[in-house]
Amino acid sequence: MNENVNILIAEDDEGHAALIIRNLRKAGLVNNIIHFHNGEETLDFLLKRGSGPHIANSESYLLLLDIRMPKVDGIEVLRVIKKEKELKKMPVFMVTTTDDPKEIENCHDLGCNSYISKPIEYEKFMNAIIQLGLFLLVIQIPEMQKHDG
Amino acid sequence: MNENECLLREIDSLKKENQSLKESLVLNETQGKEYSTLFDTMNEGVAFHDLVYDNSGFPVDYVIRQINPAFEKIFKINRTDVIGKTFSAVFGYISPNLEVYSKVSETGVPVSFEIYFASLSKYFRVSVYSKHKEKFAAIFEDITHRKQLELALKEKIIRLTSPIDDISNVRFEDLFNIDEIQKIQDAFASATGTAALITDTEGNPITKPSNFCDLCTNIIRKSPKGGANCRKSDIIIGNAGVDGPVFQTCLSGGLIDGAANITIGNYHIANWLVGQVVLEDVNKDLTLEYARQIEVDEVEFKKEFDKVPKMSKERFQAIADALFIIANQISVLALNNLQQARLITSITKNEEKIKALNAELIEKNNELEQIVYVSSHDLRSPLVNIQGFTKVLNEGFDELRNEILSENGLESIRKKTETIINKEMPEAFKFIFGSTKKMDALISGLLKFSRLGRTALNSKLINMNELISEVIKTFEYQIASLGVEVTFSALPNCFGDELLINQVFSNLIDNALKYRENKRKGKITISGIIKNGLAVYTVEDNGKGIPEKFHNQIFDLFKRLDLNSPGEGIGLALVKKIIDKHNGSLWVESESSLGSRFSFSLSVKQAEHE
Repeated sequence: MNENVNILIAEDDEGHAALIIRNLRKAGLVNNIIHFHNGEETLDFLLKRGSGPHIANSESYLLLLDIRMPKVDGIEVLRVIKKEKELKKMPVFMVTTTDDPKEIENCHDLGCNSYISKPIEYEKFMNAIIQLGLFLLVIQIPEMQKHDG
Repeated sequence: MNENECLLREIDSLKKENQSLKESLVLNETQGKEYSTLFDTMNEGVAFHDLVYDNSGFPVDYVIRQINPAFEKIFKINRTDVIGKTFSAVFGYISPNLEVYSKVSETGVPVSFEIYFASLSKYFRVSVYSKHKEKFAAIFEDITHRKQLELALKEKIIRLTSPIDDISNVRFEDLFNIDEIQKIQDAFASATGTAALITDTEGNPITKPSNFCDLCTNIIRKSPKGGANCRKSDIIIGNAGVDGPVFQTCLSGGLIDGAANITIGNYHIANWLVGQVVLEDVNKDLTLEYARQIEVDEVEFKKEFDKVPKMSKERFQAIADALFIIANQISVLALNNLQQARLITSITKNEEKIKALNAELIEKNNELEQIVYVSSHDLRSPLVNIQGFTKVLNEGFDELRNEILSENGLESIRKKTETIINKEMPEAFKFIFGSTKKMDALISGLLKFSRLGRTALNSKLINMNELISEVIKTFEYQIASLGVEVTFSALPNCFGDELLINQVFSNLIDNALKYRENKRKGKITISGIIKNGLAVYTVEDNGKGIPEKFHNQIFDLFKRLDLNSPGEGIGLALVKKIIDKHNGSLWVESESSLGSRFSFSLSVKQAEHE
């Protein structure tokens, strides 16, 4: 993966976010990582709302998205992203404690690219994130401005 | 010759074809005519409509394309004024049935419903059909008369079905078909040669008088004083007589009357009056005295008096006795009718209560499952952190320890920290990891359990021999390493959710492996038979067994008999819930130290619903 790709993490649990970031770095990723604490913050960034930082058209992004978050949950964020012409090609990986088959199916129906459930066992969790990191290292991610094409 | 024959035949067949074409044309024409006659003369209003959509394809109105005369009459509109116009343009508002109509035209599935038009004060049954998208036909049948009868019946039911101690509002007319009672009364009066009438307790007639004599009808009751006397008599005479009929000589003519009460339980609802008879031994001299008292023409009075039937006292007594028996029987019937009506209501009410309770139960259950589901996920979140960061600590600790124990490490620190780095900290890490893992297993179990309640069964015919082979395969490693002997005989097939039944067998075999008796070689036998139309499967082991007093506890969630053996107390609870969900039965036979037999039954037929 291009090192210029920005990794967005939408995760309300500070600990989970720290563990994810730690393990992404461990897997060798040096990309810029931006952490959002809830769905609203994430949407503000993506939809260029509010006074905080906004998505840049010249950059590439991918999103690691938790489902259970306060204010706006992950499912809603995913739904909005997949409806927006500008955003819908951005890869979205669900990273969540839910392993309910129905919820997984729901996310796939909405168009998420992959679904990783957070296992309690550290090795499994680390493995999952490292696998994700390795996957991110090899995939190609389109820049935002080319999305319309 | 041949050619000619061929030609002739061809002409013949062409003729025939022509003929049948003509016939079918005529038939079509007649059918067409029949349809249009039907359309013009039927009682039901028929209308054909085309739906109107907005820019986003959403139905917003419809155009009236054709209506029949009945429709014009019902809605008081004129065909020429409305055809080609939208419903809202004609009636001034959007049709409340638009949603139903558009659904019918979208799906092609006919729908019918009842509706009340307040502006017309009429009820209709509306049937909606559609063969083409965007078009539909609606047929309006006036059901006002039927609805009114239903409402009257409802009111009658309310009177009949109020609490049993409140009989005051029950009317004789509610309990009986008055026409039928009238027939009995008429027959009784004509057979006995008496007059008869049923009144309420205030003397108001319920039935029509049978066989009334002209003296009473035309002379006495028509005179003010005589009429008042009659009403007075009617009330007095009807208000006594529990043991037998009562008698009374009328105040206006000296005629004898009898009466019997009609009651419901102890509540007096009506009187059956009989009489207008002159007893044979009556003093005729008094007759004219009556006429003077009520101020009527004496000659007329005398003339009609002589026409009044005469009978012996015994004869009249016998008639009154018969009436008393009939009235009592009617009272019994009245009580029965009332009790039946009230019983039916109480049953209906109880059914409604049960229904409501059931609905509440389902809702509570759903709520509970939602709580379990949400909390299970929220409980998991902190665990991810505890495990994750303990691992971070553990990794840091390993590095520190390696450093301390290395060549470069200081002897003094090595000595001071020996117990800490070799015993205490590794032990602490072991407990934290062990506990979080266990907690996770508990939460996962809870999640699985709640998920089971939330998802519908995917019931299919299960090839049990295939299923059990698969299950045993997943235990292959354990079975081999523990040296357990697992056998299964040919199993009958059944209907069920394959994944869930797989889970049942897995949990039962897992338990049999877990709770084996180490003193002897482990043996697990899986068998199945068809019994009473059900497939019954059994998993039997020669393990530790379960003392009988625990047999009804082992299926409870988180129940564990041996806290030292592995397990979270979820396996059997899941098995129970799965079998319950299949409407099957699950039972255990076991003796401590000899082994256990778990059996469950499943249907061999496809269930109609879950």
